[in-house]
Amino acid sequence: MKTGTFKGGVECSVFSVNEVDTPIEELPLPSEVTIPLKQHKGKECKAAVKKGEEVKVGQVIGESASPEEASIHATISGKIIGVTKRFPDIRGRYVSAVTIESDGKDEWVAPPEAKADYLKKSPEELSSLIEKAGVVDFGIDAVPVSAKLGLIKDKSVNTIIVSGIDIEPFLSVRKRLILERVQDIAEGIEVLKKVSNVSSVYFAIEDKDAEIKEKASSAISPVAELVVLKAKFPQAIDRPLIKAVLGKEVPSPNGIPEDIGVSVFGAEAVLAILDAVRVERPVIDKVITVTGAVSSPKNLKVRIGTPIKDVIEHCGGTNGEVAKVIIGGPLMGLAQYSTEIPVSKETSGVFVQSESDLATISRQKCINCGWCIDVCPMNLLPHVIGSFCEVDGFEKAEAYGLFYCIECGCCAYVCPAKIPLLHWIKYGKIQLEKEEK
Amino acid sequence: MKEEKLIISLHPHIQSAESVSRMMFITTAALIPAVISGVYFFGVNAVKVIVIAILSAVVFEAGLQKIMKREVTIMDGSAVLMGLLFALLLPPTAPWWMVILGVFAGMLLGKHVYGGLGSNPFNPVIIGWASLKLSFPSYFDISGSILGVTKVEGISALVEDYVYFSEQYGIESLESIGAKINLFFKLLLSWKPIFPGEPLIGCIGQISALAIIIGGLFLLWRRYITWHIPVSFLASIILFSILFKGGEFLYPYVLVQLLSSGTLLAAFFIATDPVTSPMTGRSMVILGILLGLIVMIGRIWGSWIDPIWFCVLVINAFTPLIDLIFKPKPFGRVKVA
Repeated sequence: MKTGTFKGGVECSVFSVNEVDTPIEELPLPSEVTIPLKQHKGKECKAAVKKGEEVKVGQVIGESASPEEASIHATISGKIIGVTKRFPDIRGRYVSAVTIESDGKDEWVAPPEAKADYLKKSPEELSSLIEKAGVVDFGIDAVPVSAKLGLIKDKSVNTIIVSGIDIEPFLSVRKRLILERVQDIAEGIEVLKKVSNVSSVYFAIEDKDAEIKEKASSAISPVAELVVLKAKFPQAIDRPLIKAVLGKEVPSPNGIPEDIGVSVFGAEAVLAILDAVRVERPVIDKVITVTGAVSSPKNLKVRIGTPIKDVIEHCGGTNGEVAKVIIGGPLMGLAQYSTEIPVSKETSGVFVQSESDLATISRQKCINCGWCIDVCPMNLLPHVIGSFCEVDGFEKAEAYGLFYCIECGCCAYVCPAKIPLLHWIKYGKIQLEKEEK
Repeated sequence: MKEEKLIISLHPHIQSAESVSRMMFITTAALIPAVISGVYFFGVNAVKVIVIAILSAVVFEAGLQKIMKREVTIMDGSAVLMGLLFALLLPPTAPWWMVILGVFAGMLLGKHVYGGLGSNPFNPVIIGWASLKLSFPSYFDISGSILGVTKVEGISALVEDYVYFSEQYGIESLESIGAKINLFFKLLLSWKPIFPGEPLIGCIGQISALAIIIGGLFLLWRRYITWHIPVSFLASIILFSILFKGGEFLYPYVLVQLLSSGTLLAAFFIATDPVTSPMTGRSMVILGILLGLIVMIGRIWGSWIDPIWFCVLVINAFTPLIDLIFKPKPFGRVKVA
């Protein structure tokens, strides 16, 4: 069994995590879903339906024009009550969206059923099935798996890392999937090996949970090499993960993992790939962890398009005054201004934060303690970059490696002076990008 | 879409519980063993100096911040820490006006003229100490910032005087390993008066090496300091004292270099001050080695009895340069051809 780690990061034991270890539960069908037509990095899909039309589960409602886009499917059966061009996505940008009112029947276009001999199909057939199912791999951005497969071919990738490590220590989606569907993950890796024509696959898990280790080593070992990494954040980001697993550094700031012949997939993407070819089921739901200030934190399987308020309600509602509703986890998640934002392929969790837990900033000056340097996985000097950005010295900040920053937020998390380092860094990046245009 | 009162901000949405004031108070707590040893050996005089220093530090911090129209931050603990550290560098016989003057000089010239905590290039404690040392040398020479320096010619002469060790510590010869270990532990615990019957002289915080080491290890354990500066500085002291001195009395000589004077206080509390020390581990090691080198040069060939705090000032001035030269290489940087 291989082990490894990367320089920097924050040890998971530092966070006060109330791990959500309930089994994955299916959320009852929502009465209405709003499905954004862009749930991936890249261009928006074209609406394939009109207002008033009846749709069934699994019907394509957003057509992808190229493998760079992941097609979007209806996630409940019913009537389309609205197609809008101005719907805010989780990043606050406007995208097109389709609203479906449920008829409560949950009728499928083609009910998922096991296809025999699916492994005998050619890699081309398999990858077209994956493309049709609209599978995305969600790490930091949601990238269509079809686009990733294209990159694997173009850049002659020879190693794949499948990550069984959750995006953040507060979420437990991948952990639950390993506990509940480890055989399927192994099978999914087989499919992935076949479509990508890559034989060297690593499966990365963290060392904090003995049960996970046991499950993974028995089921995954025949298909992939198990790598047990020290439990640290941000291990789910490609660069630190590849460094920890293979000891290689992805060229920065502009390189991609495929440049050094590595591709990274999340465990849930592997399962979605398997579902796409074994039962030919498109991506219509997402497993998420709902935690934070909710009455009963849960792991839920949610139909895409379900507003997060339904999800929070199912978890017994919120405790006390809610200050923030975050899609993702508290370390790297995106704060939302409305609970009507739907769950999408880019959602890995919902974190509700009460007012007393809000992060604050102070007027304290940097005391040069160097903690941000110790935790920076990119080996930068965050406090130097941050203070240059603060006084609009963007060129200086760039010279100190501003664009190397992967925005994990470790520096701002540990800062004892509570300096909003990541805010300054992000501000610098935005200003420099504006100047370039 | 319904309007909800939700807060939007960039991640991270949570923060660690650490804060600057916690850092200051824990460092202050780490000095408690040194305070106890000082009070134990010097009695009420030490208490007097410590109390005056802490109180005046808090008052001056608040006063200067008021005058300069800055936010008053006496609750962050940095003034208390500065006052305490300053008191530990003084002889217990220091008169009250001198303590207050020194704290004022440190606060004004060392800290607030630069913009307060975080902006000071030099350690304010040492600025305060240096202004007293230069202005009132006689008050320091009475007790010596190091043991017995008035009686013998400088720090190195002390150890060549076997009478001292044999009379005060009961160690006749240093031939056997047992005697060496015995001497080590005895020096670790505390220093003795130069001549029997005379009062003990020295600085409040430097009288017991063990007390400082306990505090330093506590800080290391709580991760408020890293190993880089203490280890490299002490190793450099040992290395250069062997290189420069050598000879018959090497063993007690190295021990005195390590355990006496401000060596340990500098290693764990002064040189590790985050504001004036370099940012990365590598630069900290460089700084430690350089500091050890100039301290040993100063002790052997310099004219000051104990130059360690002036050496700290010199090395503080080099910190930005060391940081610039040893800038870390970003992850995955590609060389542009």
